[in-house]
Amino acid sequence: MSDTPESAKISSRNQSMKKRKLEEQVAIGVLFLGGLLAVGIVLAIFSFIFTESLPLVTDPDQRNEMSLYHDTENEEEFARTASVFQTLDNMLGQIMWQPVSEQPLFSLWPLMAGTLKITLVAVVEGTIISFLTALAIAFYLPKRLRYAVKVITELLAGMPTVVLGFLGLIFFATYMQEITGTTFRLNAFLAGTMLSLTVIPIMTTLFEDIYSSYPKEQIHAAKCCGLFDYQIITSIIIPATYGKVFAAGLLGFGRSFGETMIVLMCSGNAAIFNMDFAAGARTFAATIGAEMGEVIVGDTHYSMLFLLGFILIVTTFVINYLSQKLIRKWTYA
Amino acid sequence: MRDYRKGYELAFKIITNATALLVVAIVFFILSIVTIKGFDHLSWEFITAEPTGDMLHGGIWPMIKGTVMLVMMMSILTVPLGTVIAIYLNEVSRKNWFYNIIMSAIRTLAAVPSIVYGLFGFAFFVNIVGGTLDWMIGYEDRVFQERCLLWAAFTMGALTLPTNVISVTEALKLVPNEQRHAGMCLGYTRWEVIKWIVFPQAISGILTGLVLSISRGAGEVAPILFVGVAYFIPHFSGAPLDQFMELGYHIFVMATQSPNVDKAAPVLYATTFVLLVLTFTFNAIGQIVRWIHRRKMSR
Repeated sequence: MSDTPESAKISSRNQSMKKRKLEEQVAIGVLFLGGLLAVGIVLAIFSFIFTESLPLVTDPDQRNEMSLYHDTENEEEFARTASVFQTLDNMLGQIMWQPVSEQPLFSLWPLMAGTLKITLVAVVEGTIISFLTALAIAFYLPKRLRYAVKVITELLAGMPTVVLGFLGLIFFATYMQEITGTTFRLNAFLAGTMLSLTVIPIMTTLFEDIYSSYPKEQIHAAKCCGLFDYQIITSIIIPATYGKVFAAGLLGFGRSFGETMIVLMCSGNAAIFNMDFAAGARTFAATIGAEMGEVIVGDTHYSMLFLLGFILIVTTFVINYLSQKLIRKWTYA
Repeated sequence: MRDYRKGYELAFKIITNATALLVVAIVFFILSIVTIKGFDHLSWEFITAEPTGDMLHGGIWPMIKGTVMLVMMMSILTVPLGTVIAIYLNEVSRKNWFYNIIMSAIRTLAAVPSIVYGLFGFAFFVNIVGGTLDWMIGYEDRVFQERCLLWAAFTMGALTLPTNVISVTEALKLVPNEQRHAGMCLGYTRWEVIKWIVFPQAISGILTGLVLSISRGAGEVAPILFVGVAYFIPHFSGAPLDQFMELGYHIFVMATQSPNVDKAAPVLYATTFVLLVLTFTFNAIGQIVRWIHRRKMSR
């Protein structure tokens, strides 16, 4: 036993205990505030984009401006009667996107068609190329090259999209036009092809993960039965993983439909309502990027662009949710 | 009898390998075009000089300065916050419905198109926050309610925050649970476990998050299109309340709005080269740090 009295020891221990408890409470409190801030930021982003687009429905002036049956004789009277349906009619009942004119026309159809065209090209090309590349990495490439190919593919992911857009505009557009013989130098196909370069690294990594996480025992067993690699792929791996492949394609879609810079630079930005891949196209994101700079705050056009942003958020959310569900549903555990 | 399967096997092999080769070739092709065409116009003067009025002569110093300032301010804002949020979510919060909601919200935010952050930055930071600041301080004319470097940095911060949180969370998940339990058994409080056991091991994860968000921030143009970037400000002072020039935006504007694209092309390729070098350096540092970290943790 030491000489110091027991009580003093205990009180000093209590002292330090108190200090530690205080520190703990302060630190956990700060961390909790951080968590709250995260919630705040998330809520702020979601709700802001939504509320800024709300005047399209709630503000009579905007409803009035949106109405296709604009009555210039008695403006006041009309402002009170223009209904939400006339706003909707402008968005869905005609097919022109002309935001700056006497009667502003905000049809969503040309933008939808443009987004669909460009992302379709990007996702189809991206899926085919990354599917085959992932198969090569997982099965066919010599072992030494596999890692190198993976790393090089991922280099594409680190490439700023504005660089891809720039190269598409200045360099690839001319050659693409010579090969495909389209009338327009910048078209949906070019934009989609450049866009597929941003999708390829993501999807290749996903596919590669899917194949390399497939139970090795089954592959070994199949090999023991004398199956060739292609038979393993077509009869075992593809049937077992097609759901995940679909989910990966969905994620690629989610990544590419909101891409702005490439589309802004390579697509020609013509808001036309058709499914001609050789013609120009304009997506939701590119419309925001192109028009937000000149818009007047609080205008109908301003609210409309926020509505486009809100559509982008909702679509991202739905796609993410669906692909998560799909990935979980098709796990082979 | 000949085995037809050998033919199929060969076909599969050729097609898949050719596709992999195509992807590799595209990457090398893009890099080599930018390097070869950009190298001609590249000089020390090009990097350090200010651009002239027609943008075809002089250098790109203001854009480099603007990009670096933007990225620095963004990281100062986003990295500590992202780390705190990730530590809260992973170490403190219970794994209940609330945690699930925050996590899925953050994952959704990470996938939201970057242009939407531009909208948010313009509506929230420039108009609401800036307007409120002006009103509170009592400025007659707009000081904070202007497109400027400060709000661009905030917007970029919001954009990179989810990525940051996710990469720190991944680093925290690599710390073995046994070590946390051992710490608890020795009488550590929760905070002391975080401070002495979890955090030191997660530092390189935080660094990776930092570096990756820097390389993303240097490469993204869409979110700052209407939050503060400008076409031509040759004497950029570096003040947070000024508009600024940025490498990516410069490429975009020059490529789409330049009156004579053929004359502008060499300048553009050289600028692209500088931008690629910047982003790839940061990316490479991030990958190396992550690799070293993984090796250290798996031992």
